[in-house]
Amino acid sequence: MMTKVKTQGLVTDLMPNIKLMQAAGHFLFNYHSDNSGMSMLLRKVYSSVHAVLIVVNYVCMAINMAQYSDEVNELTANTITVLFFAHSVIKLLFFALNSKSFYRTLAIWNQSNSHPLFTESDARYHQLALTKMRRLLYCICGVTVLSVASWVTLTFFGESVRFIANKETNETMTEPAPRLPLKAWYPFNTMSGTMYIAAFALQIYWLLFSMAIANLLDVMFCSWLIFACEQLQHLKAIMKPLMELSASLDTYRPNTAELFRASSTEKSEKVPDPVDLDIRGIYSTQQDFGITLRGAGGKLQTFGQPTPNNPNGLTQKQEMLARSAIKYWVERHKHVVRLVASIGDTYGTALLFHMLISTITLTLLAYQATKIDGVNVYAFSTLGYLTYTLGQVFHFCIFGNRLIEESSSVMEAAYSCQWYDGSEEAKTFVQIVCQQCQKAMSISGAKFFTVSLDLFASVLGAVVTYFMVLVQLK
Amino acid sequence: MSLAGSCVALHLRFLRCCGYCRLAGGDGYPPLLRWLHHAYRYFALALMTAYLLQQCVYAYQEQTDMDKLARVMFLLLCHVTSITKQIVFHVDAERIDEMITGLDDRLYNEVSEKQAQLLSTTCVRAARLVRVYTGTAFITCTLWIVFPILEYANGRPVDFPFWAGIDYNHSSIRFLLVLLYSYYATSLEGIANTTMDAFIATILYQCQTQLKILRMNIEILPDRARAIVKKESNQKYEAVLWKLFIECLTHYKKITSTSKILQDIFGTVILIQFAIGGWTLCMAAYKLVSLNVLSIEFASITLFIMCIFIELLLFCYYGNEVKVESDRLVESLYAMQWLGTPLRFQRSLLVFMERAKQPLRPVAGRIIPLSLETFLTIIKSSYTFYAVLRQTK
Repeated sequence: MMTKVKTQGLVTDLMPNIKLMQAAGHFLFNYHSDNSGMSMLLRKVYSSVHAVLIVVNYVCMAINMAQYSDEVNELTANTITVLFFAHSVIKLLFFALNSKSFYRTLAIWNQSNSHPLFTESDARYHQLALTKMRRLLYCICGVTVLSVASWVTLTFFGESVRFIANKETNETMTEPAPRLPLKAWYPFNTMSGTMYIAAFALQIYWLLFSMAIANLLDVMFCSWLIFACEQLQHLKAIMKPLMELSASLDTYRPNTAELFRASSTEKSEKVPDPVDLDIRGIYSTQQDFGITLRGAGGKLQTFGQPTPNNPNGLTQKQEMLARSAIKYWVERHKHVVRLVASIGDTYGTALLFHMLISTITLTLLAYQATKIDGVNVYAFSTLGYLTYTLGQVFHFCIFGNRLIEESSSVMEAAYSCQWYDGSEEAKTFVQIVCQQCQKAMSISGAKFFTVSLDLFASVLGAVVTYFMVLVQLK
Repeated sequence: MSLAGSCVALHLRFLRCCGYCRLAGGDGYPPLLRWLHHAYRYFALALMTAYLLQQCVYAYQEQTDMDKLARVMFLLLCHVTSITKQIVFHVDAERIDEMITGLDDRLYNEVSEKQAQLLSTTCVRAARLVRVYTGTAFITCTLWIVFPILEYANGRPVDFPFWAGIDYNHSSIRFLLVLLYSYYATSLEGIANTTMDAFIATILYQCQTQLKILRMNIEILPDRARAIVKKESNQKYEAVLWKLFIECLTHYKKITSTSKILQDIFGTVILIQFAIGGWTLCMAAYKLVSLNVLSIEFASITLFIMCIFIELLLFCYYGNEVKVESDRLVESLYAMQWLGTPLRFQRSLLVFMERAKQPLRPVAGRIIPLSLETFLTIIKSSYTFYAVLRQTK
């Protein structure tokens, strides 16, 4: 009986995605419960076989493109297909070469800090993130399967021909070609018979797996961004109680008991780890504790009694909870900044390649779109390619944009809470946080561009411009 | 030479051999040697100016022949950028020396072991860059003298892309003289030009490394202060913290001033380089498409295009790196354990963060930032020029 692999942090949240990636043939060998030599070898063989099949079929498609490059329309169509699937090959190779970086990013959230007063909010936003990630995964999986199904269906409509240029008369002729989803050169004759069925089956498998490879990696990237955004939401949500806690230390407030309610009752679904309630888990060194006390002005002499230094009559434990709240907030925010930096380092180059290839593909598609002359197979396939490519770009642009928005709105949350009632320490904390949050956290494509809706808008605008210009030139 | 200063050691050696950069002030060179080197530098400048004028005369003579004009133009333009840099090295020699000795500063070189590792990696990479880049330029120049030799050996008339004033096609000695002159001038220019570019890029690279070191120091500032207080119990925590903070501030000021001096000295030159680089790329591409793929000339023009490409990319890439690194300064300031430090320190940290929010953006000619976006813009414009040029053919 295989024991369930013990995972934590991001890996637990992304386990379905990881399992799907392993099934699709990515070179993802961690996070298995059984790490014996034999199963490792089997997994490596599995991934290698997939990789070889994918690359070989891709090369066959490229050979086909080179073979029939005389006729412009045929060449354009084949180039678009080749570029379209270049994403899969690149992402497969990228992951294989960069897997350490991916593992590092997945492991960043393995240890996260906690605070008794904020565990409920933390759990709530974590659950939100989880739901969104799952929903995204199902959605993209559905789209992939739907795309493959519609591609295969479309194969059976229309004439199965290819265009060649007649060298003498310079006219375009049509020549019968095998009715397969993808035009590729095979060493065997695929016009009919068992070879045809074999080639068809191979191509269905190939379509499904290559699209899955490309899309699952994008989903992982977007899931990371969703997680980071929800963490920022959590931080924004606890800013107000944080300020009130800080204010309760040296200003009289009428309902301080309410603020500490979360620590006295354990009403959250997730039972907090015993170490959460242990104050030692919050402060790492005696020095921190000592200096904070000095900074806030004075030791507390008596507990439970309102004194000039303790106007609300907090117990020692409550006072420590209040003081440690700011530390929790700052450490959690720094953790999120580290996560986003790691995401950018890991996936930036892949985004750059994606955008490069998508730009060329979209330019060619704009040209193809000008030749649509009715509701036929050609129109459907061109529009299909267009929507899919634009959809892929939109997919990561929207999440990148959300990250930018969330991270810059932290400053507004900091300002909108009652910072003026907080202690000097709290006010300086708000100032420093605002300084950091003025520069929004963004993902850059290897420092060339920023992933945001502006990027998508510029890409879409370029496509529309090319299309309009080309239509005019016709 | 200090660790930080030695990153440009190889560049300076090449430049001094070519007669572009003056000898170091403090070294014990006898006055006679210094004077001779001074004269050599003026000779190099005169030679380059003469060669440029010869090319201009040739261009004027052949203004109707598009092919020959293209051939001489892209060399001429390259030469113009090289001469502007040479003039800058002559005129601003004082400030360049100041910048180089500034690299030996204590602030740049008092580093921990891990940071010293970073500095030596910088030196190794900078040396590799200059060797590869200058080597490529030298090979290109050598390839360029191969075809005149081949053509002369085959008895065909040779046409050097500059006005020689003498008929070299019918006398071996004259041909050899002109050939040697051409080879000397072009290789000197090629080596010196590429070394000067690598020099500027290396200073930017050093700024980036220093920013990395500064960020490393900032992130562990309170921890370092604590370690010092533990070791020397007579020091007070707050005083040590303050001292280390001021050191980081001064380090940052020094990096900013190095970058500013570099910008002041070379800003205009880099601007001219960008303007001409795009144009040169398109002319070279225009020449390239009319050649046979397997000929030596094709290879040499490809190498030349690569050199221009790398020239532009060098500035843009390292300028971009400096900007990216300085952008992350605020993150590093935030990442240190400021929670728990005295309020007075936190408020000063705020002022530093405010200053650090302005990224260190090296600019060319005060307008064009050295970044990857600029690089993409130049490539796009150069392709546009090329397309227009092809249309007018």
